[in-house]
Amino acid sequence: MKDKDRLNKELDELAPFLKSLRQGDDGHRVPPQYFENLESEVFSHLDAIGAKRKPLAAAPRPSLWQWLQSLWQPRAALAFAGVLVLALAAWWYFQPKADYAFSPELANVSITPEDAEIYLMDNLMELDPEQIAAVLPGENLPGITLDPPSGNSSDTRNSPATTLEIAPEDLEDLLRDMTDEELKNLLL
Amino acid sequence: MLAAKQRSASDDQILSLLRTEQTFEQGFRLLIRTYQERLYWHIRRLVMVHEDTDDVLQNTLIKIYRGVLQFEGKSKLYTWLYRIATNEAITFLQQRNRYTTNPIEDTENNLANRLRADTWFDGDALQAQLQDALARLPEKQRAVFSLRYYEEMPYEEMAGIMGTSVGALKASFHHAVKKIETYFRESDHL
Repeated sequence: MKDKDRLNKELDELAPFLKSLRQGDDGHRVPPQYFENLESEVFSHLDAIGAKRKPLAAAPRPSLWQWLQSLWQPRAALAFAGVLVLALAAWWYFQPKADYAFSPELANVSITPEDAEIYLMDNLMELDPEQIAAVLPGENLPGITLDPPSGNSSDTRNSPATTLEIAPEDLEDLLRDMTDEELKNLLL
Repeated sequence: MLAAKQRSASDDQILSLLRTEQTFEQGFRLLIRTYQERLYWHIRRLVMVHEDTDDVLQNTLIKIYRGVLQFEGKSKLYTWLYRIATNEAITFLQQRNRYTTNPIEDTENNLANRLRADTWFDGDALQAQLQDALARLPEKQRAVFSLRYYEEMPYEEMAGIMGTSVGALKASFHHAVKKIETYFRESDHL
């Protein structure tokens, strides 16, 4: 059954007078040439609101100068400058730092044993006992007593928690007994 | 030129022209020529007056122009076009209703009065009465009635346009017919 027939059947059942009204003229009119002119009116409207598309062929290719000018937009320039600053900061932060302890200038400085001894005697109280102990063999520590924090272990010399107590007079003897090589190692 | 003189085309022909940038305008001109009258009359049944119809139709065509590349082809092209036209007409009517103090009564009278003042309507008393009755229907129900009564559109296709189930559309159409019948009876035309 066609849809028109279905509709007529529906109207017959619901409201037959509406079926008869459909057969007459509904009275709506359209101005002459309206549909002939609509297409151009729509395109004029599109032009007026700037919504009309430009075909690819009609779009001129920008020159190099125009392209460069387009790069100099304030917002783009600010963004570019921001990225540049971040990149430079990252490069500065992650570049390897100069190791002054092994700089060539310091490596060429020669220290005599006398200079080292004078330096050690003048700065005796500033030196960490563990630094001194580290450059000496274990058997050359007659004045050093090792005090473990808990105190019960029988061999605490190699324990990282071990603390060293050296009397100043013992330290002076210790330094006098050190060879030149040991003193040099202590200072470097 | 293909689109220079051609008055109408198939959906496939229109869509293939729209997909290429160089032939987009040709395709859109062909779309206008193919569908302008159907869309015009669909909108005219909803807003009733020619001048308003012209405004709504132009806005509809501009929306179609801007959005036609997003048409995915899941429905028929005309279903998609009718959906845009219906929404545009309903939005137009709702926006105009906002400016009235008594929305229901004023809207009905406003629409009926505008139709009587429209130089592009010269229907007889019965047709004018039918338009009065239609003006009293809610916009969506008027759209359903119009699609079925004037355009004889199957409910299945209407469902695609209105975004409603077939059952709801049938109920809406029957309800609209009963309202119109009641209006005629109360006006002593039956």
